[in-house]
Amino acid sequence: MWIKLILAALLGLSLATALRFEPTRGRTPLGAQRRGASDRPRLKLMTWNVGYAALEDDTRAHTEDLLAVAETISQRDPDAVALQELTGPEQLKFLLAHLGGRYRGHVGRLNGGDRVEAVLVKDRGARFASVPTTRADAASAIFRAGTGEQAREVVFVSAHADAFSAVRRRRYTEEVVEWAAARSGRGSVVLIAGDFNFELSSANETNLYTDNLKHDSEAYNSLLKYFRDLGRDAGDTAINERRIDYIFGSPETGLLVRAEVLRGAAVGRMDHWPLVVEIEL
Amino acid sequence: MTAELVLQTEALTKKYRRRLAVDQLSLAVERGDVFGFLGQNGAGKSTTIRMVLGLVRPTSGRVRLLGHDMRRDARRALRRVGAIVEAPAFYEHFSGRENLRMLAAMSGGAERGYIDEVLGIVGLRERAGDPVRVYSHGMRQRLGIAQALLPDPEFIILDEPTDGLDPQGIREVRDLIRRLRDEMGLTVLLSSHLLHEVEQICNRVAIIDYGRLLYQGTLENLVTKDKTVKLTVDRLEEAFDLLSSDPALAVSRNGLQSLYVKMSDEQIPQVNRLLVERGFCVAELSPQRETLEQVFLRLTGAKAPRVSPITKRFIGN
Amino acid sequence: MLTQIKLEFLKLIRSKSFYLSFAVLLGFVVLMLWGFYSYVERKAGGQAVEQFKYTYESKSYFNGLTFALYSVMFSFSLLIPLFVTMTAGSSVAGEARSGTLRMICVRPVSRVSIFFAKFLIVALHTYLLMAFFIGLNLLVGLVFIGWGNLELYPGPLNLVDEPGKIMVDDALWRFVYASFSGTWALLVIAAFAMFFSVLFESPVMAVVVTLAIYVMLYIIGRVEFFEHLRPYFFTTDMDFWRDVFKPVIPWRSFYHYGGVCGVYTFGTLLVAALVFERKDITS
Ligand SMILES: Nc1ncnc2c1ncn2[C@@H]1O[C@H](COP(=O)(O)OP(=O)(O)OP(=O)(O)O)[C@@H](O)[C@H]1O
Ligand SMILES: [Mg+2]
Repeated sequence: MWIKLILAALLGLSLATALRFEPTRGRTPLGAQRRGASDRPRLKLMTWNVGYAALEDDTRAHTEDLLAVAETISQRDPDAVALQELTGPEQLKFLLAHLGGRYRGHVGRLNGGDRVEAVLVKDRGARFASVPTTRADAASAIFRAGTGEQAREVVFVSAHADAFSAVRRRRYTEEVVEWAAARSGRGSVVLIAGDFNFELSSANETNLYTDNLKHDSEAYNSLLKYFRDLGRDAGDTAINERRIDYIFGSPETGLLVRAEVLRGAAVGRMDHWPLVVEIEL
Repeated sequence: MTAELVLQTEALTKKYRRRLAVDQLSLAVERGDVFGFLGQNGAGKSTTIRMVLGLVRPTSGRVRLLGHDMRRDARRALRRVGAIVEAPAFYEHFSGRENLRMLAAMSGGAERGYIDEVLGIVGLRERAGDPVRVYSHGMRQRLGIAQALLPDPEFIILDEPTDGLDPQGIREVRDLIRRLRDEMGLTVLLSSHLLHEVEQICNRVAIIDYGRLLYQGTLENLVTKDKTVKLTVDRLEEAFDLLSSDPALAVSRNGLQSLYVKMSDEQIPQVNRLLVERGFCVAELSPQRETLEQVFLRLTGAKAPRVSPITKRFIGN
Repeated sequence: MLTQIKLEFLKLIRSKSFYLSFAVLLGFVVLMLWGFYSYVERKAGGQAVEQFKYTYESKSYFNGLTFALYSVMFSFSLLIPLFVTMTAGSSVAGEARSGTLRMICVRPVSRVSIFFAKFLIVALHTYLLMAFFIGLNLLVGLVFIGWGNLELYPGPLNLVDEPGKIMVDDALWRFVYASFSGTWALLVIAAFAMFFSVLFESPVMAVVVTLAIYVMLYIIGRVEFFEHLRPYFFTTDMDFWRDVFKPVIPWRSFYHYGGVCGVYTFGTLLVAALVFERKDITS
């Protein structure tokens, strides 16, 4: 008899425990909440693929849209912006002009392709560098954030991985990661922003587990080995419910304050929305 | 004053789904009895024993064991009861002695000496260290009896303890049961499907068929005074005529060699003398043992022997 | 009760399958070790022995603790449940099959205490399996690779969704926690297996049915298409044991799912005990 009572008591105890503590469904929040104001420097970053959707005649950025892009940037006022799928340096020049000279910029090397990535930075002292990869060079900016003792060197990369081949995406990603991780090792805050076109959900594939899925998972994992996916909880960044634009931060990035996708910002036939991330150094 | 009842069942009934295995069975075993529980295969003996021991829940009816109601007080009732239910089973990779020690622990514990004593009683002391895995059928059966003795019982229930034993083994078990009653004063319930097996040691019997009680009482009342005697003589016809003329005898012919004569024990020598005086050569004069089958026939009053469905198929009826 | 537990313990340590379970786990670790060796050898171009200690990437990433973590995580979902189910599934049905159940059920002990003693021994076996396996992996990790901080990355383990790190001292404690949380989760399977063991006369049947249900839910729960079904499967709740390897253990969630597993375990046991108490033993 007493055994049945013990079992019943344990059952009741378990039930009470299950009810008393609520489960945290989903993941641990990236932006650990800090109570009270902090005096640490903040950094606001934006990434945006301003190209057109796949079925248009020219899937690169259209110059007439750049006015709207400039307006969004002015409104949000990020410290650094990564743009993808510009046609070349002249579009960057056009954009910088419409931003009233508040930003400086740099585009990656064309390398035989027809589109480039660009970085825009507010910091006057920023240096720019190309991130060499096999197919095209990504653009990066190196600048300082914060003042005095809290000042940190920030490396900000604008990247764009192949839209069609998972193998090429993986290769490209690994090359970028290698370049960026080396800089992270030297104490800089390293951020990689851009459109990686990863297909990470098997639910969108016709086969349960494809080579594409494998390559994309591995590529994504190679990023996550060194970086945090800061835009993780901000939702989709492109049409068809895809989250393919990312801002990755090295462990030195500190606290995530906010991550947001600006769904109303796209104009024309753009298929991406800008992702804005604010961090505390 | 009536004798103390060790076991009493009242209208015990068990239904397995639609099949009625035991039907309104009321048994009474008195202290000191060696009680024979008889029935053909499938008659419901094991089912009854399982209900008595609480392994199976009766569909209806009650069991009182050593004065306790099995439904309410099973544990108290079982404390002084030893049992074998069908073939005894053991933990094969443990030795005989270890098995006994384990089972004794569950019966409330027994001293080491007592286990050896029990092993001695069943004649297994030499082999007690061997794993049960290597035991022969007879050794298992004896170990089964040994484990039934572990609780230092007042009452033991043995379900076909001689099942599968050779004649020597059967005799040993029979002697053992006798000793248990005489030396240890145990009450024994013994099930079997062989009448002659219980005949020699039981004072009271119950006979069931299709789960129903046919007879319960002393053995003397069951076995009739008159015996059928098989008679083999020369000049069969003459002998038949001679014996048929005696109204006290019932004579029947069966085949060409023998006569079957029903008579009382006292008549047997008289008939023998009569035949010898008349110059017959008496080659055989043997009282026939009444089989359980015949007792059934007598008790149920059925004319034709019961034929099992399988036999029926064979003889094409 | 104590007598029953002692007897069940005796039966456990005298049974071959008890030792077999440990032997198989040992074999599994050897296989894991071989797998990692050949992996590193491929990566390091044939210098496995030297390179194994300094791993192919960031030196600290892969070490003895990482090895143990992978080994434990992979074997937990199928290998260890297999043995737990075998012990639990045959606990009652095995004795029913061999006939010894009726030998012990005619003794003056309550059937519930027999059942409960069996469960306690199954739980003990489960814990011994977990502890042995974790200990063995840590030992192998120490001898062949050496311990280090446990660095966690999102990946095949599906454990964290951002890189994290647990310092070596803390990490060792996490393995100790895991032996308990893992056992607690496995008790759900053990309880199910015991329930079927009471229900069926055949141990094979009890084991197969339990494993079939577990594996079915486990697989369906892993298919992304059926994500929406996951919350209804007990296999999902069982995953809580892995939380102890997260850099920051989500305690509240841990308690919640631990409680849910407890509800499954004790609810099933209670039902099984009641069924066993009323069951006809006809074998
Ligand atoms: N578990 C069960 N389920 C269904 N029917 C059963 C079960 N056990 C026994 N029976 C049926 O109950 C009847 C009585 O069986 P039982 O085993 O009691 O006979 P028995 O007298 O012991 O026979 P035997 O001399 O062969 O041992 C049989 O018809 C049998 O088929
Ligand atoms: Mg029988």
